[in-house]
Amino acid sequence: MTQALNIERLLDEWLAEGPRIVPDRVVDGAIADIASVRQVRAGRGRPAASRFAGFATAAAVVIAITGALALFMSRNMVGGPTTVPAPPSSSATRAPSASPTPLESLRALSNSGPVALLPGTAMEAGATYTVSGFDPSFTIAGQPGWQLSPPQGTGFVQFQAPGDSAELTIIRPSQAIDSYGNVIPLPPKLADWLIAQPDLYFDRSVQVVPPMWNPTPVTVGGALGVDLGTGSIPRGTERDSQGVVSLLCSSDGPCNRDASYALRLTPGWVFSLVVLSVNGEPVVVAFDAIPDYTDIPFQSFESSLQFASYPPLTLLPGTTMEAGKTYASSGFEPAFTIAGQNGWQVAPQGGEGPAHVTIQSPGDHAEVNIVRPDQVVSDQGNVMSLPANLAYWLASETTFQFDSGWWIDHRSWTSSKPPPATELGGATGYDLGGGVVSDSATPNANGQVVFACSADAPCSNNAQNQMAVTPGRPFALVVLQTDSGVVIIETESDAADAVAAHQVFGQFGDSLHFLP
Amino acid sequence: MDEDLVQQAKRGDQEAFGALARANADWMFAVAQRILRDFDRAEDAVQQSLVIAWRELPTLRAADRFQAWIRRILVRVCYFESRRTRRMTRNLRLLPGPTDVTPSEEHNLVLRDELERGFQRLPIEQRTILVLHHYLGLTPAEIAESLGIPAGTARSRLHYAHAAMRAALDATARTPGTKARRKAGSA
Repeated sequence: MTQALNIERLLDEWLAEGPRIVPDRVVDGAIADIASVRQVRAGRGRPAASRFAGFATAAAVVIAITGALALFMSRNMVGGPTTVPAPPSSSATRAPSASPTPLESLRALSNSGPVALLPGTAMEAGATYTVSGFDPSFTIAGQPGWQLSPPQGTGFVQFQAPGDSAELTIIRPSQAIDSYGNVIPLPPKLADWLIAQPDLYFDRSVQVVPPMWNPTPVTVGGALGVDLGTGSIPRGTERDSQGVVSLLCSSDGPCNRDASYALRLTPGWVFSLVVLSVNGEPVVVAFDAIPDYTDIPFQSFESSLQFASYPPLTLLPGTTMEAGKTYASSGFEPAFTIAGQNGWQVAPQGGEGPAHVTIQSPGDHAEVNIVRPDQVVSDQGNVMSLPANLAYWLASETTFQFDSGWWIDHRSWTSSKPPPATELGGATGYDLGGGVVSDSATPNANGQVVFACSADAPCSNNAQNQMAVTPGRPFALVVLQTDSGVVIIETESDAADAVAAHQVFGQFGDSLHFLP
Repeated sequence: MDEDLVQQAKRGDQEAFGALARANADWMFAVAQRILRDFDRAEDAVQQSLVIAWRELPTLRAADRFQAWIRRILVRVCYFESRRTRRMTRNLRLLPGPTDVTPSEEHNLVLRDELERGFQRLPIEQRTILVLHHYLGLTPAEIAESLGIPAGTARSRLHYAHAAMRAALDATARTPGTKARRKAGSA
């Protein structure tokens, strides 16, 4: 009890310290902004406050549905504006192919084959690479200008960004180096050991005490593991002569503070760590970069990484997914791979075509729709050709009532004030956030509001197997520009609010990778 | 809180909303900064919350609930801010440098550092609970209303937040390497 009183008193005193006055420019800026922001009309739609209120419950519901945790929000809402999605390419309007070839989508991994990357050779975007000798063997998508950095071994490989501003290390460790510099046997609970390292300041929602730590399960490259999130090492805690902190060694060379075949993190940089189990052995994937470096390359590396021991399974309508396995689309263009979630499946009836895929949760409580549209359906139910700027067009449609808790004013987006840029699966685009279907939208006979169509089926307000939102089901929208055309990814769920719908997306979003 | 101002602002009076914004911005900033532990993001959170509040104000039914209502918006925006820029911005704290400090002052510095480290490792939801309770002095029932969660959940989160802080401080105290390095840095 004394301890409890002490911690409360400490927190009272400590939190009483700190700033209490906001700079004038903050309020001035807000007041200037509201001059161009129109107020909502009272009594139309649910109040914003009640949408916020559902967040905690809704998130719990979605997590319960799938048993997975969301990462997407934290990883994809970074980076500055990128180019506006271009008008659709001609491929977006071609006729559907008569019989999709299931293995077509695996061509990047089989037909063209990965390129063995040599030290000093710059990677190219769009190419798939492997590193000879590394066990377990893997393939990974190229990032422009990145190079394989020597030395490389059977358990150690490192890629460096142009200008040495970031590093990606993949290591199968055999020993560890503790905070005193002692070489120790590899801890059996490697993730727990890393979390407990006093020099590593994790800034994700993890807690320092292992029994209270709630790891985030992930599937990377087909292997199950945990994502330890991001963190940093304060400057001044260098452990070796090169000013870095060595944590793990592979068996390729001697293990000490100056080991060459070691996972080394730089104080003052920002790291991301993922611990995987590949063929029963731990493999750590680490990204370390200068503080201002965007994590988009890491997302691309992580989503494209594929261990040969876990080849992707073909995702066919009716196939029930399993967590820990990677699936490849069977007929969709552009082909993609995605991590499985237990019990989810491509809708058995019309769930996949060359330009659309629908993946449903068990019981259809939530779904992910991936569509390459060639037409849209307006608020008035008119079928129109694809707008040049699909993201802006979607944002302006009154069908969607975007959750203002996420983005301030979708309808004020302009070319100088674009929506949040995002990168997903190797493609760039816009994250429109989540929302609910507006009360003013009129559902069709199926109880849905169709807003975009692929070439896979006729397009109308009553069309089936087209991109639609359902009144009462919060949605989230992302628009991406791929090599095959514009792709919309829409998720929706029975959960109570749009944040939860976006979390459904997050369960897949991290693993989605469009194949070159 | 001037309910007339709220009513005027609900009807689109920007000057009235400006007055409301100035009357509330200080505590909003203080709360956001304590939750996010970052000045820039706290400023962004306040600005964004005010704009959202302006836009959504007509949906507020009871003018006397304005402060609780905008507090809920602020918390949600803080959640969002903490996730949105987690990787892009880092608060790398400098360890105390060589200074002439008394043992008592040194103890306080170390304690603050431990509190900061422990607090930053809490999930954003627990940090929010602690700030609402210890800084704003809200009861679990009031916290529950602010967050839109059941009162029992608020009590439970508060309990776990205290336990996590206690555990973090205990863990730091038990880690000889950390203490040794910190002492070396401050000697």
